[in-house]
Amino acid sequence: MHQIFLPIIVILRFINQQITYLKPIILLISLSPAIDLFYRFKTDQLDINGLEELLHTTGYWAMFLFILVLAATPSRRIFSYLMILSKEPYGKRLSDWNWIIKCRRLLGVVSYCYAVTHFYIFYYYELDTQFSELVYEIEERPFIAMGLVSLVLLTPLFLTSTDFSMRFLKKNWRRLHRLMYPISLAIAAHYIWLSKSGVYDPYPYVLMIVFLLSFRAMGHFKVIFRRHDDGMESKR
Amino acid sequence: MFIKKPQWLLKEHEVTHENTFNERRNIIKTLGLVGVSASPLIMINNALADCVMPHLTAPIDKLNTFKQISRYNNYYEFSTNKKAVALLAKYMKVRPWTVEISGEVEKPLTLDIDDILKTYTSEERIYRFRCVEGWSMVIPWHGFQLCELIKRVKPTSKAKYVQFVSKVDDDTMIGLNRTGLKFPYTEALRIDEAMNPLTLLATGLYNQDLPQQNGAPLRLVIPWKYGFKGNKSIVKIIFTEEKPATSWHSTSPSEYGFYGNVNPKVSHPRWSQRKENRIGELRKRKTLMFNGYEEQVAGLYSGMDLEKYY
Repeated sequence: MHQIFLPIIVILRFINQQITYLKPIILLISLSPAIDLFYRFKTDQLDINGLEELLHTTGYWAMFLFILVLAATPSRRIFSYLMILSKEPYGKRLSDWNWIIKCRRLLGVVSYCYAVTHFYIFYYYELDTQFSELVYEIEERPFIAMGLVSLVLLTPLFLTSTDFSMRFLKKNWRRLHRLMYPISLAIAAHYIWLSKSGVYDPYPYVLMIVFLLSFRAMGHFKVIFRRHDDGMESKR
Repeated sequence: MFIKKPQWLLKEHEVTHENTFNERRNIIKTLGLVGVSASPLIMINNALADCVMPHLTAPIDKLNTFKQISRYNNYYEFSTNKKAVALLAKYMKVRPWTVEISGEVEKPLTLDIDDILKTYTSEERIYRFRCVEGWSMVIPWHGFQLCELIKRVKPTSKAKYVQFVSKVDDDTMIGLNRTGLKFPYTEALRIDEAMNPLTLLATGLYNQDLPQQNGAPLRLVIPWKYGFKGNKSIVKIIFTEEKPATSWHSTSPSEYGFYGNVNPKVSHPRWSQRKENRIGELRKRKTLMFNGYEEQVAGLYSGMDLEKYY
């Protein structure tokens, strides 16, 4: 059993040690959908409904990276727990999975960039660069209001993602970034409401969001994650 | 006594020779120009004269390509994925095919599709097409007016609505078991909407046979309504006295009405209908009342509250 996991353990150890140098690769991977989309946009190779593809792709990757960010902290705990259960020689400590947390900020920033691009495409092509149109649009299409709420709430999170902000805000940084939870609900509402009836595309992602939120809720109320304090994390 | 000739009386040499006049009409017909009433020539054969195609004054924008029209389709019986529909629908057999016309008519019929194609001359009709989802195209249909078929079956005075039923092909339609939309796909029109000369039974596209994904072999096209009102692959036409149930209205009455007229002022509960996304363009354009056919069809709805009857 351990022989099967050995290469995985070697890879995990390598990733955890070298994460600083691996971050540019992760950045490139997370930006590749945008690069591909931009290339296809410039060479007229977009889908039949070009505007829909532009909006859908940018929105999808913004959401996907957002879900990864939301999943970062629970997954560190889940993986450590799984490694303990299967009695692996590596990965039982939370710190063995610190690379996930270190990538979290990177993925969050890229997610925000996708979200801003998503909004800009909407502003440029649908609103025809007329902000006044936005009022009508929100009135007639409630899902746009949800999208705006998500973007507006994500902006302070983006602005306070720096090391300086973390040191400056201290305890309040964690409190500010708890905005992720209402934002995730706004994103889910945005996706559900823009879909036609009979289209079930949003539901896998809504399910992921609900699942991750319930994990956090259960952790908060000490239903799960009741490990004794190993001194590895700061007091909440 | 000197009688002054009236101004409108043409001089002998100014009058077009009858032969030339008829020849010119033929030339115009073969060129297939929309707007020039080619239908009078067909109407010579048709005993009833009020089924005449009116002159369309709105300018026609750029046509969408065959690829765009045949690779971007909503046909839920196959798939909700617009790109998958073309790949799945090509397996549907469109021969043999019959269309059953029944209900409140004097002469109910069951016609073979090839008889229909032989009897009714198809002509090119370039129409704007607007989907309720918010995208639109300009499509060069080939078809004949529905009113020609209706007049043949002689609807009785009890016939107030015309119901259309689409094919359910259990062999190839893998999307049939979806909960939600009720199949067979049923849509209906008021009898006066069905008799309107703009209402078309399309048999072709770009001078070719209709592809299956566009509704082969017979598809209803009502250019001033949202696309969901035009049945694909019609198998039954039923004339009714009571307003028939329609698939989309039964599934989602708050979202899809019976009339389905293109109206920028009446929004869908979750999206606006003020603008549309013309396929091929990125910038959205303003949606026109009745999809630009207001002049021809607004009379059908005079006095009706279009917000209530959407």
